[in-house]
Amino acid sequence: MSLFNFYLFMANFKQRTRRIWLTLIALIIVFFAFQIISPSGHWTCRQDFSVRGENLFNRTCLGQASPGERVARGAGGPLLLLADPVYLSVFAPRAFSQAEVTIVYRPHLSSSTPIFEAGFLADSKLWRYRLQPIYNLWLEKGLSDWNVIKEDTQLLFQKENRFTSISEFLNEWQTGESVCQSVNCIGTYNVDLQDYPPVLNLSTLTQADSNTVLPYTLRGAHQFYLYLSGNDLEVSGRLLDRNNNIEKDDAEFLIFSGQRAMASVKIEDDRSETEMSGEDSAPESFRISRNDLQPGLYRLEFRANDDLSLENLTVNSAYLSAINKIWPDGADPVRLYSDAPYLQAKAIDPAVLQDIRFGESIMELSEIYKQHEVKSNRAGIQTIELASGGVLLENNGVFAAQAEQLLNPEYPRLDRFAPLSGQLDYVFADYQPAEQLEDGWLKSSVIFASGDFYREKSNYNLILSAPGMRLDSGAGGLIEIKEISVKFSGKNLWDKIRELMLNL
Amino acid sequence: MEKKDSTIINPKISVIVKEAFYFFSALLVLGAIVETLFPGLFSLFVNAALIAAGWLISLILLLLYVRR
Repeated sequence: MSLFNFYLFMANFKQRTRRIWLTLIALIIVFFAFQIISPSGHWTCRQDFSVRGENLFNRTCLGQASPGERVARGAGGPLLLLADPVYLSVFAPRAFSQAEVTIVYRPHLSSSTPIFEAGFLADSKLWRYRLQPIYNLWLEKGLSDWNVIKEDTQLLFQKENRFTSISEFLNEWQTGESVCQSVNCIGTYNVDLQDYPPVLNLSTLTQADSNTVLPYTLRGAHQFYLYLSGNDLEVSGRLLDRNNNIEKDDAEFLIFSGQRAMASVKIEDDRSETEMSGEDSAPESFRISRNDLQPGLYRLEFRANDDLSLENLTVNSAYLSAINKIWPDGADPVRLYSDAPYLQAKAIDPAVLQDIRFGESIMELSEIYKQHEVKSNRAGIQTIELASGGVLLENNGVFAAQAEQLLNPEYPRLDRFAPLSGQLDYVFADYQPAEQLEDGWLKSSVIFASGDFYREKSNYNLILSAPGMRLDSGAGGLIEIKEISVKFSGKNLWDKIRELMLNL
Repeated sequence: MEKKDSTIINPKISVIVKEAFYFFSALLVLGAIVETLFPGLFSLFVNAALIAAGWLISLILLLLYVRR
């Protein structure tokens, strides 16, 4: 080959080689663009824990389960959930409007840990997750000697064979016919009760005008039930800001009638003290007045982070009940009442560790950042006594400063403290029983509307929850997870283009 | 004393080594851009450590055996 031909050949070879790798780079760019846009409107994140998740070539779209001490890898690979809750990040290249979570698992649960739920972080400010049921031991096995009617995903369990269809039961319930022989005989699970009669007969509530003052300072976000006998609502109190965290401490009050938001008032943090100074602000008074409401039951929501405290909360209602949670602050003794038969308590300050009296039981709060719990042996309203505030109290009922201020329109929920022994005659649930696979594995799928879910750095925050399952409790229990699949769906490329063209 | 010629004799391999270096460099830049704009997307499909190893090996070969 002459020298000229040689150089020509080499130039052609160089050009060919360069074209090859440039084409490869272009294809990789198209591939990533395709993943980002997801033109089909679908994206699936799946991990099979029976094989090693990460391989030499890539990592998985499902992050490491955390906290690490609550999980383990079993023999043959399944992920073991040892305590509640466990968090995983789920990668998605863009936001989607719907997420379907499918889990293949083997539950080893008990009456103390009967529920397994999964969900996503919906509100990052209040750290609120939206959960759906994966497995409920009561509904799968605990009511096996009850009569059950199944229609689509609705289940009706009845102790005695009174109704032949769910619609017959619902009709009688919705029209206010007396379904129950005793009070609160209908237990529910995962049901939207907006269209059903309240468990309370509102005409039996105190109709006289009255003011209720909560005698304790409350820390952080809270929700309250109250009853208005007239058209006016007056809410007042004071806000205290600890100024411990870095962000501004805005507060918001929302008033709901059922699921409908009636009013919202935002109180911005214009206080002069600097954030992170640790300097308590001067109390800031607030007053909210509305005169266009109908008499009835309302939910008052105080949205704030733990840097803010609510002092001297006053409402023009004879009833003021904190929903599911109350966090009294201050050094003075606290006396509260609750309608739930159990109590969970947690302290974050060693100075507030103490013994708590709940009904006739004593709970020793011995460690900070640990959830303690106690169950009462007695039915009915329970008294709670604390030597000082600073302890976060939670249950599935309500709390009030006086027993006569208790107001709970919720039906008994079929959770780990469900009163299955005698109180319930019916259980109404929206629940899809698990699909049986081989070797004892179960498969459950739940669907979320994920349009408003919180995303951070392209990741959704998935939670797996089995309330009551703890490493150090005698309740024991664990869940083997073989596979988690999250299928996202949303607008496809054509829908997006059409939307853009309509907006132009 | 004879100085050993350390260039690769086969010019085709010289071209391949150079182009491989350019390819891995472009891939690393692409990966950096994708990761900056969409954190986690590039590493979901590609092991960045393998790309970096390929880039380093091609650089070493380029420096040791290919003379301009």
